[in-house]
Amino acid sequence: MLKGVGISDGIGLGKVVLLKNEEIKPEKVRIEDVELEKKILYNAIHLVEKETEELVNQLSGTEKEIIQAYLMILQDPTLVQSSIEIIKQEKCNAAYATEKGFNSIIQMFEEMDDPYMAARSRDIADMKKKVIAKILNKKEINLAQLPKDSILVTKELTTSDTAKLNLKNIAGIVTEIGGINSHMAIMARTYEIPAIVGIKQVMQLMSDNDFVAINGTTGEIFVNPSKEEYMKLERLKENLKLEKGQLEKYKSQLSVTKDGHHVEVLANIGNVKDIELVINNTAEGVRFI
Amino acid sequence: MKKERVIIENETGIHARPATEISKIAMKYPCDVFLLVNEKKINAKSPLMIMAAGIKTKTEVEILCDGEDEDKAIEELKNFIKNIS
Repeated sequence: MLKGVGISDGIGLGKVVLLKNEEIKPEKVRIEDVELEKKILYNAIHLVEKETEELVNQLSGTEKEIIQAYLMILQDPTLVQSSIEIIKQEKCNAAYATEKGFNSIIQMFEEMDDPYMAARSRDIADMKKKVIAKILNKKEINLAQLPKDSILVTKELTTSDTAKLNLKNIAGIVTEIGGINSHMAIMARTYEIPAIVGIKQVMQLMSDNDFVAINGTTGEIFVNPSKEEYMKLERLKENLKLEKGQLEKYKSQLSVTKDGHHVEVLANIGNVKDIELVINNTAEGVRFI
Repeated sequence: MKKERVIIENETGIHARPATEISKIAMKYPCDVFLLVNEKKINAKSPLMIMAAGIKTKTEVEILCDGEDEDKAIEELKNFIKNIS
């Protein structure tokens, strides 16, 4: 059994899909033609922008807003400028300048004392990876078409990758890097997909098509479990479903403490479409952050 | 040049969403737009820099608009920032 940190509750049973996103560390190469490298960089950013725009058009609700904000950050001239300066000053290749320029901004966010903002550094790292992949002409896996009941295993599930997933086919998520405030964690909880983070060397511990059972509450992962282990988790899954069903009856009741104090239970919504969830779960109102 | 002081009332401060909204508004206008926060001058047309400033609730922010349409820009930004929720 492996043990990580559960960040989204529930039991997931399914087959492993390894998402290999090797980190590319570009070498520094001295160049003569500064204008050419600048053009290569702008071109790569433009391609990533275009892909992100297409993604925005396919999305709706909170996800759409998140990716729109992501797109705006990508289009922020400050981000590109840091890399352009490096090309000019160090007379180096666009890929290396992107690595170094984006890293300076990533570091700025990592050092913030606000955990939410610190988590945004991973979004910028995600953009960096995409831009470098475009410069070096690397291809990516189609995340919208994974088989049903996939347990997605990867070093880190980035914001843009999460947005591309067809969540209906995802039975669970296991990663090495990720926090409770990452976009992946937020989406996993919204869509009730069990998720576990903090498994070191996760890509070496599992193979494609391994059967795994994960417990997003305890952080436990059973790779190719015994019949007993499997049965135990399947039963737990059923029990959780029953438990949730039993809680349903409280939905329509007022939230009042024993001494008669009324506590308002509100929902945090992303947009008007989420109102349906608010009404179905009988929240007393909404807040918008 | 126009200046306005506002206090951030939103509990969670200026997070990603309001930061991008502020820069969207700033970008609509041709004038320069800056935010003065904790003695730092931030280009308000950069969502990244607004986010990186980590503006918390109850912080005083001075909006500076300089150039064409500075009156309109400062009015819209002041109203937006005051009412972030």
